[in-house]
Amino acid sequence: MMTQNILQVDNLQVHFKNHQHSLFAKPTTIRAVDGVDLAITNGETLSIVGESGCGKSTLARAILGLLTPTGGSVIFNNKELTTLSKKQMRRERQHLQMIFQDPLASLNPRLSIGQIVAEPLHNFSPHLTKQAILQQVREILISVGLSADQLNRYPHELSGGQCQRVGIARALICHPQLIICDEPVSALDVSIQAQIINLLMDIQKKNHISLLFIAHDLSIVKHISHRVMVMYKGKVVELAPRDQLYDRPRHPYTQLLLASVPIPEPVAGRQRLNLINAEKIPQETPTASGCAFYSRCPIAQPLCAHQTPLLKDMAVETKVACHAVR
Amino acid sequence: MEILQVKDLQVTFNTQDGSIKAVNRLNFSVKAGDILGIVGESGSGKSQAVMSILGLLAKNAQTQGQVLFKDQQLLGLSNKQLNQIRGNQIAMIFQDPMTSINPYLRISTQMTEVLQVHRGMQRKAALALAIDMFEAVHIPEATTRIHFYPHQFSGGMRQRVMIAMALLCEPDILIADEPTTALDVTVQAQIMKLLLELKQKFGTTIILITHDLGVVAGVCDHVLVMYRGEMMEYGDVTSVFHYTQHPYTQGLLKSVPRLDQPQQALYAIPGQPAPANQHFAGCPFQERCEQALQHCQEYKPALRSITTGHQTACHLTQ
Amino acid sequence: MFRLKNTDITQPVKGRSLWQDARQRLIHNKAALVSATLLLTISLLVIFAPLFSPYALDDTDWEMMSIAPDWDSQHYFGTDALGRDLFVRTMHGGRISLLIGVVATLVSLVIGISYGAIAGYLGGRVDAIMMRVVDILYAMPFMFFVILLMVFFGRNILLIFIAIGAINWLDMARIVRGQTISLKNKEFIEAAEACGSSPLKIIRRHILPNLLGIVAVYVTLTIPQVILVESFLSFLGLGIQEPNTSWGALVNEGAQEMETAAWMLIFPASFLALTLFCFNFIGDGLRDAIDPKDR
Repeated sequence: MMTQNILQVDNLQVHFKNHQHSLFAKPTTIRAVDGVDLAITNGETLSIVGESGCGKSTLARAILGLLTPTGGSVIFNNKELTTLSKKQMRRERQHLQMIFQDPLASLNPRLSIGQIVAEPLHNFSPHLTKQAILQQVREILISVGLSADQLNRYPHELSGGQCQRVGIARALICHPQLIICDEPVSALDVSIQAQIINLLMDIQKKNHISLLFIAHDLSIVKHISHRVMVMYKGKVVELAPRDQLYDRPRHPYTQLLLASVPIPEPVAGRQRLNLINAEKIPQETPTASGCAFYSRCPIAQPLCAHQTPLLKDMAVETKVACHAVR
Repeated sequence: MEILQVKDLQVTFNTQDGSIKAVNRLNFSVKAGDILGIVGESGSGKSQAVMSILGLLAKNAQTQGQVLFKDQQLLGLSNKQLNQIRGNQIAMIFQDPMTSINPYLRISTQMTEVLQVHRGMQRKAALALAIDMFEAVHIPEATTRIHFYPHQFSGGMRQRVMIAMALLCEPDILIADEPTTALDVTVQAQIMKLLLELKQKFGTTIILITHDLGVVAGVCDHVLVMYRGEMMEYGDVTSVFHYTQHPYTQGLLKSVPRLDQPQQALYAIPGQPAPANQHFAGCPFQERCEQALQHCQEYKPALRSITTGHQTACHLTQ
Repeated sequence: MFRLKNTDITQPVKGRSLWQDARQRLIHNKAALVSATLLLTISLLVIFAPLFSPYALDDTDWEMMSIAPDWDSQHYFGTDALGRDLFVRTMHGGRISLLIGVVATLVSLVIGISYGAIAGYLGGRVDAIMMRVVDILYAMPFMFFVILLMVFFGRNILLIFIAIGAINWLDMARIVRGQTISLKNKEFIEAAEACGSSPLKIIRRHILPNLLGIVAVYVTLTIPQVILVESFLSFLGLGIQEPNTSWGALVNEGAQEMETAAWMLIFPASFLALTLFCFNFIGDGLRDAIDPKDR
């Protein structure tokens, strides 16, 4: 049985020109996303983890077309998105939606909840009557755990968790096939995070939607993902099924990340903290060639400074980009 | 020796939406050299309680009760008197290092200023002490980096700079308000180690405000759990994590997925916190508590000791 | 899984929009409230008060030239050097000044908002070109332009609207462009793009309503500016044509007679100053109401 890849990204690159402070210096290029491959099948959750500056948010926006990629291809539903016109891309958005990090900021403060959630319907199903739209909005609000009588409220009257539910409702209303979640629970309280995570997992099961889940919280990622991709400075360093990655992390950066996650239990927590070594302070200017992680890597070899490691297949569906891992 | 005692602390804000009781009759104390973690979500009042210690609340705030620092009442002191204590005996670091350091001045200028004002030191001696402090917080190449501007440091480094600045006058208490929330997880681990080291090296008492139970478990000796301005549970970390008493604490622990445990369904505390201007006759957590009794809505639970040093405010334990 | 109560009732909860919040705050601002009332009173006066006077705009009272305010003769504000009733002239002048203020501002508003929002949202080269045009126009000497217009087309009141409006839109465009750029980076604009909304729809539905706040404030501060510009033109003898008058023209005439007939200056000047103060207080009040520090 061939599983269809609903999203296939090949060698995606997003580079920004950084205009220097001084007048005569040449502008440098920031390689925010530097050759990323990924694929998602129907009904799967692929998580992307990495620390700030690794390029995961930029990657999400490039896939969605909110940013123009510098190179590479994005194939969604067998269509190449990077060559579409703006108008064609807009039509594709019906199937490819996004949930944002800051729940309140992702809602227009001047519009009511009903108007916000109805907007995709206005764009993609302009033939619907007002009544039909109202009905669909009501149904979707209920399905995300809000009550239908919240239609006329405004974002600033709702809590963070409720705002995020509105964002989810807006993403769901046109029945997309893939939803990109950009740190959807980072800005929420702990007790609300669990509610939203459960909601997302519920929705995925019911509607058979694929999720591209971007986060920095490894504990949550472990809970929600099928496969996990680890990024560092614009490149993919490890890609593995969830259990493989957490039980047997291969890349030194993945190992460092997992070792640093604090455990909410005093005995185990302190033990882990003791095992962490003093960090190696990274250089500010990355070497043009060579592994980006070289200056922080505990097992770095001279080779690593000159040669960029490529993503190699390790085990089933597991890839690692490291010279030391065989 | 109990270096800080908070008795019956109440903080009320008068706003156009009504009066908001941010902190409602809070009672706790901190032993010298201890690390206390104050855990709560938004609206729990943890930041307000701690700001009241240093007199940093907004103008429309009213405080009642006692905050005793070395047996001296801090509430009600004039700004002038508080300035003797702030930065000197009690120092504070905040969540976002970028916004709490002056971006236009070099770090050396800002640090030597603190020493010149509080200790009357000469610039040369102050600079030497500042460099020492940089090394104590493990900032490499301290002698050059001391003269950097804030924007030349990365996020984690900036937080270390903040800690260094806070420690200059060797304060008795260091208050850290969500110091690692804005940091990457690898940097967070390093800062956590640093805080533990500070306790060992300098004997500094640390009050750590956070919402992250992992940070509390790794760093703190005692933990205080707050919800809507009231204390839910207090005790030493092992007791609270292993013999959790309060339904809210239990709920929090269950709703945080754990890396070292096998996959299980994620528990979510139902409902959401009530609006800030709502007052409760009984327990504030009652409407979200799955074990709530009728009693809980009408009567506020008193603080009860379960074992020595482990207290909880819940009718179920009585 | 726990679910919140699902009430499928037909009566939705009434929301409290940001405009309603702002209105509440504005009403509580005493200075703004008083100013608004005063402004309303002045507007009503200039429209209706001349109906209660027996004198017309250019009636010459041969027996009563340059007389001080006199109740019996119904010359409430006195007369000017040509025997024309100052009360009626002040009221008529008010009509013209306020009209010019409002209409010229509206002209600059429409042009400025469209121009600025489009330039700001589209960004890139289009923005750069549009803004260079604005820069060049800024560099042009305003007076020169107005004089040219007057010379070619005569002292037409319509022309004054156009001339002043055509200059003021530059300010509005710059401000709107700046606001649009800062709005463009907000997440809800990204979200609107992700929903498949076209740029025109985004500008209309998401950017414009969020601009109105700052635009409203700017409008209340532009109107007094425009009135002053017109007054300045009148001072130069380029403004409104006789027998029509404006506060600026009256102030000009009054200033010449200041030592002998002070009332000719005091009344129009007071009205002018009062109106300008009112607009400024309302503008301040609006700004505080729309963008309070606690948010």
